[in-house]
Amino acid sequence: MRSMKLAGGSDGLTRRQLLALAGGAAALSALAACTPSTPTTATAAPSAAAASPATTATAAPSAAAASPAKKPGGQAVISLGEPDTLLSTASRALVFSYIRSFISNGMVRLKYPDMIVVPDLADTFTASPDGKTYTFNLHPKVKWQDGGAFSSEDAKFTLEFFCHPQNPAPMTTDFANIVGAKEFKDKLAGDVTGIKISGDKVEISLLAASPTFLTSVAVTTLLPKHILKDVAPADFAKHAFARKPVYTGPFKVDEWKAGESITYSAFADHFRGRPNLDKIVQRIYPDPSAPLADLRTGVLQQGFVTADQYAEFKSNANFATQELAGTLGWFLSWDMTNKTFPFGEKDFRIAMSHAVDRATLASALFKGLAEPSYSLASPLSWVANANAPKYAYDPARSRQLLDGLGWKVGPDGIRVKNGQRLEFATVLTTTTRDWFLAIQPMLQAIGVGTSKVDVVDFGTWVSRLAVGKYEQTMNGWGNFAIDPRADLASHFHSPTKAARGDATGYKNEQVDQLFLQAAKAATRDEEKRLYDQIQNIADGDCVYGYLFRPKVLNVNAKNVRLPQAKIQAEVYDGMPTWEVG
Amino acid sequence: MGRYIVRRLLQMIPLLIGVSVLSYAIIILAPGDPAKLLADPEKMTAESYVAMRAELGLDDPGPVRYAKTMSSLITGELRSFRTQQRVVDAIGERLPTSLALGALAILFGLTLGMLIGIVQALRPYSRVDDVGTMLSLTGFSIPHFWFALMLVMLFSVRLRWLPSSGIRPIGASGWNPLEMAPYVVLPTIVLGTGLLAYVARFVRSSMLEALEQDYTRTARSKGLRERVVVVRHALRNSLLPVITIVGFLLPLLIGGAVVVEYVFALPGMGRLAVDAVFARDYPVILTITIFSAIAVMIGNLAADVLYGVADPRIRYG
Amino acid sequence: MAERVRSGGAPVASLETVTRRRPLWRRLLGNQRVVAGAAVLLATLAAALFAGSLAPYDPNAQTLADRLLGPTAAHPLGSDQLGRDVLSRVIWGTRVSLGVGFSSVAITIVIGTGIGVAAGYAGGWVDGLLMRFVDVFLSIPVFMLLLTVVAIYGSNVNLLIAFIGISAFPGAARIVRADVLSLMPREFIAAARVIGATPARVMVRHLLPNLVPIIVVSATLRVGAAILTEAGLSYFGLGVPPPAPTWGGMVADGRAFLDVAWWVSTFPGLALLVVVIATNLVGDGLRDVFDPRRQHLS
Repeated sequence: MRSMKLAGGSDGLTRRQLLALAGGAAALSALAACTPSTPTTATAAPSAAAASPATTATAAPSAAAASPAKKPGGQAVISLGEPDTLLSTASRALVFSYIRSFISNGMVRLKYPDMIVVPDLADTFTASPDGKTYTFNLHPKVKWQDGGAFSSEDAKFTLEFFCHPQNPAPMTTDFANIVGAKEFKDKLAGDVTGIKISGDKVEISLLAASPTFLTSVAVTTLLPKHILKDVAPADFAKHAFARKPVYTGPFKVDEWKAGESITYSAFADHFRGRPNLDKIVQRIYPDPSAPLADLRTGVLQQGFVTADQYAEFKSNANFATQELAGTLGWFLSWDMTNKTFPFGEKDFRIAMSHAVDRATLASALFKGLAEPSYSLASPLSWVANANAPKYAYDPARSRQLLDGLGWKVGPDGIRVKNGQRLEFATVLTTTTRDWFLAIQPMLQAIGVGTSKVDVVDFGTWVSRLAVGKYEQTMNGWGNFAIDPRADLASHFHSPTKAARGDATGYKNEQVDQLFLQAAKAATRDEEKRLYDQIQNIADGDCVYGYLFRPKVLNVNAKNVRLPQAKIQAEVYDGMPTWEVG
Repeated sequence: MGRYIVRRLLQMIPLLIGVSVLSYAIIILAPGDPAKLLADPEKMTAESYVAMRAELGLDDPGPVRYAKTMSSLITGELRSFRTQQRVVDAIGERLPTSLALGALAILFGLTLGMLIGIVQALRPYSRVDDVGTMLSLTGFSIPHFWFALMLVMLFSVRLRWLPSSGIRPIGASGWNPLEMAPYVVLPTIVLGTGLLAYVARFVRSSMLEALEQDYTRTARSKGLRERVVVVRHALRNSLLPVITIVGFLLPLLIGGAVVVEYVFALPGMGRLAVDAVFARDYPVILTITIFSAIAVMIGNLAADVLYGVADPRIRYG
Repeated sequence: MAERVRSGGAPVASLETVTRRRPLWRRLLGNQRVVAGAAVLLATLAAALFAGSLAPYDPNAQTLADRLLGPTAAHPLGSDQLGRDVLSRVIWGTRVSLGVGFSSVAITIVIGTGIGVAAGYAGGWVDGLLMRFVDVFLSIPVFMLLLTVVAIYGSNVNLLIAFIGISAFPGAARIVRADVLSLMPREFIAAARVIGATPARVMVRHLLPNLVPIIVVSATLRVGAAILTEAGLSYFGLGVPPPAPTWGGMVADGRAFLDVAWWVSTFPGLALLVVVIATNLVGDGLRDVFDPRRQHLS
């Protein structure tokens, strides 16, 4: 659902369009918890330990050094969808998570693709041995893009926004875990006492140690107090800032022409050094056929194409291409609470997964440019469990399992049990329609009838993605937009699902228990072991019929040099190192 | 005349209330849940969902929501669900593009349509007339979206003569006609073709009618040269009413703009409308609908008034 | 005049020689437009009825290895992104286009005639109220309204037909009402009333038969518009859902392949154009035949 959000948020068709732009599937999710950018990526990465308590992380020295500016100057024209707003606290669009990475910063950020916490505005950060106090030492030379002085005041101002009594949104668990946050929210205190600032130092005290504090609180994009201090928290999104914001990132927003383009220019006083490019122009296209023509004629310098279009660019000397890992995984989803069909039976779901010939789908639908998928977590992230059960193509096994459940093949090839045919409806969007049509015959082959399809627009689809409102659907989930632990919780932790609208009805007490233990884990190693166990169980239960992750196919003009990237988000995250020559 | 216009303007008020109630009813009875579509699934908790519904006013009873929405619409404070931008501002940003495109399409449709219609009327039932008839028939039978794609395929993808999308070159702003010219050619053709077809047919038949009229016969019998007859008498009497049909074709133009702006990635109101529909951005849909209705009503009024100017026999009662 | 154009249909008929005296069928056969348009429509209808035997392939049969093949002997119009035969899909697509076109117009005509006759017959405040209602509908941009309604309420075929049909009723209602108003002062209506016929009887037995020509012409001219509307909705992903192939949907499918596979979008659009031209030809011709002098627009 989240992945779909990307496009859907703004425009239903977008879904299809963005996917096309983004290389058939580059879609991530609505919300990136955190993706500030510095050019220091390569050197700033400590170890996984950075995120666990009682450790110190030190940023690598200067960013400018990391990417010796070979050819400063120039302009790049890129293609990205239109965000809803450029205000970090309000945007729900995936594209904003990309934009955010080159216009703003948080105290720390997540490093792609393994999603480990690394320093950003904070040069160093430490956690006390009990994991209840974090200290951030902010970089001394940070400036706001309007020239305003940056200080720890801004950090306190931003974090307090999330706990502000006048903020209509309720506090999230991790903010509520800050000492004094609840008192502030309840108007019993004038500020959040657990956030102490002095000079370049920010010290935050927690009620209890939390392994998710850094990834949900410390990564928050910082807002300029000098601009927003007199604005009521409920009105931030209505302020002019939302369309022409001021952050601390390497590029600043010059102009947003609605429906047309957003222009960014280099922020010369960026604290890690000036980016190479002078200017970025982001063009906004509603229709998938439009960016392609512009890419080919050189109007666009960079964009993402579909597998069908990729070959042409790959063999053309005027273009450089990169195949990025699929960050959006697609899967079949079932309403397990359904009483008519056996969606609640683990063996049924396994049979469905065994029926899908992923290799054929990848070669037929994506010219081989897709990876088979067997799990929700991206294999690139630190939580992924490579040894979790996989139910690969094995139709004989599917038939065996369905026979075992008592569904016998009827005269027309569709299975029947107690007079009920194994034939159910599938809700699809225009994006998933063709893909599902290619899967249909594979399910038919094991005696499952899925010819009833209901293609709806994105908005309708979102409202039907809930138990009791569909039988089968095809869903996509983007990794790397948020903390990978949250990816898993969103789908397997039943209280989290219940709060957000449950699509499957999956509930496993043991899994819920393991999530609770993981939230209290003292070390990253212990946490990883617990998440491995969660995936052993959930993937073993075959919560979803995982299908494929289409690769993201980047095309850029030869004269543009992009950073080496594994995933799409890195392309934008590394924007300061882009060169045009 | 002045009194007539005022009366017509007053009559628009109940009609607009009807339009707003109808559009609002369609939206309010919708099964989908905009809060769910807008909510960020990551941050969404049971409480934040309730807060969002309250913020959007989704829990108020229907008539209350209607009253609240309409009063904020009138004061200009109505905001998009999705962007929190004032809807009037969003429309203000997009309106110039749509107006420019509409004006160009009207210009294109009128000039070419009149030309074709006149040529046809001068040689009725000839080969030329047949070609013209076929042209206008094709003109209003052709699907906008397909026509647009075919033009893009030919002139942008194959020949590379014209850009396939956008309204001005990268980095340009403002309204420099020279810079923008290549960008508006294809959209103008697609949007103007329907109009062209109507105008050509209208002009052909009203010219033929005029050429049959007594005053034309009189002119002829006075021994005036055929060209003078055509230009002075028939043309003048049959072309003035043409202007008025543009007013009645506004709905056609607005509907066409939805498709054309979408296919050519033009930042106009039609595209804003499509985006809003798919995002369930009800305040935007509602405002654009009412806005278009006002445009259509004023178009009709202008057409009726102009028709009276063109044909003094009409009296306004 | 204003009234005519506003009703949104097609153009003013030309002043052709009046051939009133001859029987209707002779006049119809004598009209080139009717004959040409009807021939195309009949061929399309035949394609729809016999799609099963005419189409070389199952329209939904995928051969994933044969994706996006250009026109060849095996696939005269090429294959699409799932390796389905474009020709077969174009042939099967006639069902959706004609089906939606004709059934939605039937709805338009029933509602439009009902309201038009009621308003014209009753007159007074009933007429005023009904016509204001019609005006409300007329001033809303129809395609935008449909996009909203179909997106919100979903696009199953029956709903879609109903929506398209309803959205076009105001034009029909106005034309019928105008015709009723012109018939009301006529003697046969007065005579029927004098002998005590109920209003219902007057409307059904006396008014309706006289409205047939205008209804037929208006309906025919609307079929093309309805077909285009369905295709437009399909283009935005909101038309008739699969597995039924739809021309609008096929054009939309081809958008992403304009450069590598022009045939995917081109042929279904061409089919659309030809069928709509044919319905308009028939409509134009019928108008000339039924009432050459009246010059009614749709």
